[in-house]
Amino acid sequence: MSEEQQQVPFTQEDVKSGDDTPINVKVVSSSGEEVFFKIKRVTPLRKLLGAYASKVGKDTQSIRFLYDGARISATDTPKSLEMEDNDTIDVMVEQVGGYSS
Amino acid sequence: MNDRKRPALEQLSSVRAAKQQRTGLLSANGERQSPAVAKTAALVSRWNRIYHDLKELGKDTILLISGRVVPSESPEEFIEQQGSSQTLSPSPELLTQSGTAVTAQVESPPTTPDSAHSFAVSQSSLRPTNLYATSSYSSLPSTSHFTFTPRNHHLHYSSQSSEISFPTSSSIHRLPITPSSSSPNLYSSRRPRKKSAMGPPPDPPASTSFFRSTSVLEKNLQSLKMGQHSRHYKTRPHIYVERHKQEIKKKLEATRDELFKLAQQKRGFKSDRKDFDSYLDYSYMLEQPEKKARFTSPSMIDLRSEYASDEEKIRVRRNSESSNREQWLERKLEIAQKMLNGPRPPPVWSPSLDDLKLRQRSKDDLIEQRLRPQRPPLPSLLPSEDEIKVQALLNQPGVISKYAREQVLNQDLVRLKPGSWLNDEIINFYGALILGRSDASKENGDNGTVNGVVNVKKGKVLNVHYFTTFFWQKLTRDGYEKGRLAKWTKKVDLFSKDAVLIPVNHDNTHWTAAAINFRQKRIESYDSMFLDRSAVFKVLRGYLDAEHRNKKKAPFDFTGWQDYVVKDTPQQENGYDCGVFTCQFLESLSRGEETFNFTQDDIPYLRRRMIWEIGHSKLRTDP
Repeated sequence: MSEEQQQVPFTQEDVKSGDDTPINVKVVSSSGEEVFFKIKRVTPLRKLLGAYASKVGKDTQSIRFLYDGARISATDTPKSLEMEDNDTIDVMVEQVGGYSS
Repeated sequence: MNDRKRPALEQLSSVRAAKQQRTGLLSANGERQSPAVAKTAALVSRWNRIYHDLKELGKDTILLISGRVVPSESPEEFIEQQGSSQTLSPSPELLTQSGTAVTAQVESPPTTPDSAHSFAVSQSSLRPTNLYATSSYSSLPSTSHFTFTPRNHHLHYSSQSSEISFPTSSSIHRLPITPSSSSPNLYSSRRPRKKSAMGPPPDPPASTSFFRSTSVLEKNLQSLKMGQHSRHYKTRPHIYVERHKQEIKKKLEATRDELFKLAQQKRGFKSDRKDFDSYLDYSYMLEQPEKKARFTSPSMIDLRSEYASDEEKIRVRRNSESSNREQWLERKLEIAQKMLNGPRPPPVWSPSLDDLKLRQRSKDDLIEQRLRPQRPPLPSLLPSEDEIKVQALLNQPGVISKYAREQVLNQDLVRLKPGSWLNDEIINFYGALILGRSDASKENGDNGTVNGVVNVKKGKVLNVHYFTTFFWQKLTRDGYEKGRLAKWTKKVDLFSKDAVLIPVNHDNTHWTAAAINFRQKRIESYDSMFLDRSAVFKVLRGYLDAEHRNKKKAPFDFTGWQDYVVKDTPQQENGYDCGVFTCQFLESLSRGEETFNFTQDDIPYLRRRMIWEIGHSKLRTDP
């Protein structure tokens, strides 16, 4: 079943797999604050991201989550990203460059 | 109150005396020589009426006086004297000053009729070209000339007035000392000649007994007059001195301005005007060795001037510091203009190893350019159907496009409209497109070997790696270890790539592109503002070493690596296009371009093109 889910990534909302053990994930903001989450390997990370965003009171569109330099999209799961226990997700804010004259 | 008023009245008394000139004149002379005074008074009033005629007559006066006073001297000398006197007193203002000054010094206690008399003289002599009349009055002691012409009357009159005021003046005995104690100046050398010129005049036909008895005093008067003159010349500068100085200053400024412009034009002089002035002064100082030897100190007296003749002295004065500097500046300007307009001298050929390398490289570049087809200039518009699509994309709400792990929303895409700066979403999306194209070309390659030359020949696309915009932030804020940057490349072997492309965000205000070029062993920085990016090189070298130690378990060998900045990197001309420049730098670099074919003028086109590329998740292949 989990094999299927990997091959055909989630077209439905709440696809969960109970046969996987949860892992601990640390979310670190750019200012160094850490928030810990426990998430199952097949749970879409969208849920985690939404939970973090609501915790820090921000819109998910305004912050970027990186796992090992790669942008985490809503459909990713810990398994698809090959996340391990106690891995870290980086939170970055929008970057701009220019000079307002 | 009275105490306060009295001084004021005393101060005004001299003015009053001056105002009372006509009555004072009449009364003072009426007692002595009533017929002469009556005639003189009439002539004085006439004098006022025929003032304009006297301008011409004044010349005759001078001629007459000098003819009388300097009978022994040659005409040339006279002319010279006349010329010098004109240069010394060219304006009526000066005459006024000198006239009043002279009279004020001769003046006895102000309440006497004599003083009023002398004021009358000074007032009536305030006419142009009458300096001689005033200055030579003492040499005309005779009273018998007043039957000649109005001007002679005037002359006579003034001489008489000074005679009258002379014995009563208390300052006379003091004044003759002054010239002897005065230090030598430009005009002091003129004194002997003046003495001969102003010496005892030819015997007058008739003299008053009073004057005969005071022949000693007459000598004193001569020296007094001379003393007055030397004092006058010494203490009063020429009234046009200030204006002249200002003119010279203005001229110098203009010359300096022109030199500054030439320096900017010719040598690309970048510092401001103040620096240039100091540079000029410095080079002037360095180019004046003999000058410095001549005048070791400005306070030292140049003894040679003691023996110099008048003309030489004048020349020496003209060759003063300021005019020397002026000439020097003009010479400089002439040289600079000549150098600017003239043909360039051939450069001296003395190659160093670097020169030879550079020559070799430029030769290679030329060959490479010839082999590589020239890229035509960028168009100003996309094909019309694509322009329509661009417009539609801009109006499309929500998620515009997704590619790999990146996505662009409408709120990000509108940043590609002209005049706004880009954010990380756009740049990372564009970077993902570059990375995707590179990977695709690698897969399509026959053997996938990472040989830059082969790749360039194949599809002109290098095997590159693209770091997102957050790489730089992580690297600089957290460092390699704390930022866990080792894990960023767990699926990639950086050292097998042709190049690593890194967009750099400087303090959230500026985008630049950096690259690690493994083919040419260069760490490159491309800045559309051309600022100093030495930090980029330093940080990336540190990263390369740490990455190499982490992955290859050995320090990175930096032999032959250099920091590389292209001098003619396209420059932005506003404050918001840096992101677009950065994207285009990265795109060009991913194709192995050594030069960029876009400028600020192409940015509007490139912005629309980027909208199209992001909307279609595909880099355009047309130029």
